Amino acid sequence: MTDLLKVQALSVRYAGALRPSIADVSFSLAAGEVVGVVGESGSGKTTLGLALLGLLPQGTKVHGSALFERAEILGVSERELRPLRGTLLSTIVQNPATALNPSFSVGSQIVALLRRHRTLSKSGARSLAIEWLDRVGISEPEKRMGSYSHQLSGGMNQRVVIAMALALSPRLVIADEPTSALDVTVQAAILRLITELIDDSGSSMVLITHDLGVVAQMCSRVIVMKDGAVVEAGEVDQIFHAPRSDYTQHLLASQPSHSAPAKPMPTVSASEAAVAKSTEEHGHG
Amino acid sequence: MTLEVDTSQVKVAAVERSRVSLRSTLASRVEVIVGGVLVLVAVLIAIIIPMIDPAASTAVGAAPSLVPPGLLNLLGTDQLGRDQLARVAVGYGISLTIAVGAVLLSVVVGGLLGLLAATATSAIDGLIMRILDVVMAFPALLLAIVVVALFGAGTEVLMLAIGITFVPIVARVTRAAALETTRQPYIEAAMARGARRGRVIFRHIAPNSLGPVVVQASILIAIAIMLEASLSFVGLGVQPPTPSLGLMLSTGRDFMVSDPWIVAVPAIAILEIVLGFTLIGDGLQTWLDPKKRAIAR
Repeated sequence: MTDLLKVQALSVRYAGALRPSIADVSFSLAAGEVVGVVGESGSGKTTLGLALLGLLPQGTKVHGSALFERAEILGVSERELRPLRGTLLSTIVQNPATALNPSFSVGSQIVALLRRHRTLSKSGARSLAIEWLDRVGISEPEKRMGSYSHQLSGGMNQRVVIAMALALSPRLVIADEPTSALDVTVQAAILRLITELIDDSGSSMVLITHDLGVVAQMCSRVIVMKDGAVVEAGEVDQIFHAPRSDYTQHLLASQPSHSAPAKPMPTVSASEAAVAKSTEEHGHG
Repeated sequence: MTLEVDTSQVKVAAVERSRVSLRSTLASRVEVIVGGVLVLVAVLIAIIIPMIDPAASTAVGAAPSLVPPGLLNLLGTDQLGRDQLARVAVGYGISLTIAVGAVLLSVVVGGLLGLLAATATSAIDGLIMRILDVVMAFPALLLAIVVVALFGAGTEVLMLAIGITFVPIVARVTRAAALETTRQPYIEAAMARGARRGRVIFRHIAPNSLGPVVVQASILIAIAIMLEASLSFVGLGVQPPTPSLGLMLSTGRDFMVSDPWIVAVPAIAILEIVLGFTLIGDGLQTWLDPKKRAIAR
């Protein structure tokens, strides 16, 4: 099977930054595959997502290559990228509350998106939009078409964002922390929804998260990042049960567990010695 | 026990805070309503009075000159026996037309320049803003006088003259608001969904940057009315015999000591409408302020 996305030696340095935010990152993604990118804050995982979407700010230095369906998507112009965006390459952003234009109803935004990329009549686009609101589990979709994002809860907003991201059945979805702005009870439902819809459409997904639990639930492979570099990459089972790198071990150890008795939480940001000590004391996972 | 005391104090503070914000929201609403009523009164005077007797504003000798306000002439007559109410009404019409026209012009031109500056490369942004800085460096009245001197006095020229002086102000406000909006995640999201640049600017950035511009526009109308009155006062506004508020002030000066209502009438008329638009702008500012709105919620 040929790779849907092949990233090779990707480096990104923001304008004015002393060192690159990500350096020499390579990975590939097959069609229909869900790959998790994990790491702590500042590990470069969001930058990776922005680079793939071509949304890095002006003046950012990007090296390396990213082939999407064998076409280069790094360093190409807006004009070449625009036909890909939304239709083939899509994104689910972190904070649903600010991901929608507050001046227009959610319905009109979905309709506008559908009509921009597909030749649809107004009423055709409207009924398709209602269908999608229904698919993402929004009750009374006809009524919700006229709602504004500030009238909806965070979970509902994220459902709308997901509908917009998947309505054009993209080949690849880049989801950057799709649930971290939501409360825990909603998180599980949203993750289930994303998994279902991705499965249905046969899309691939790059799931950027700091939550290893989410990765275990949704991904087949995982990439662990630290300080802008890939520390470890492999099958989820292998990473979780036999992590090769020390950092991955520490990351796994710092994951809260419901079954273990309450004790001080191991962290990864402490000095190496302290981390080693705490892992000795409490074991991992 | 201590815990209970603490929570009650927190509650008191929260209630107090919501009361303060509620009061400021109410106050801003009252401001907008009072301002709206003042503006409405002026607009009604400008529309209805000339309909009753279209010639009254320029009918010399229709009544004795310098009659104090009374039943026959509600606001008295001027030195040529013209009805002051009729003259104020026509003056209002001219002032409002020029002020609204000038502000519309500046909002369209300044708004587009501000949006362009906020979304273009920093070189173009710098170029636009530096040119506008030069325009802004001229005192508004002086700049307007230059335009009138170049093109001659007249309603359209006055609109243009006042409008040009406002363009940099509107452009700056729009640019600042648009820069703020550009940082919002939904702009990035729209781009990620493949929206065109023009569409991002006009559908996503522009409508969400409108609030401060509306506030500014309302205050600019008040300033435009004062500028128009100033230009008429020095003889660069609409030309006699057409009445204008500034002209009435200017010609009434000679009778200020003996017949003070001659200047009091146009002065109060200017005050009324300027106050109206200022109150609307002020109230809207508080109303639209997202920080205050967030607390009120």
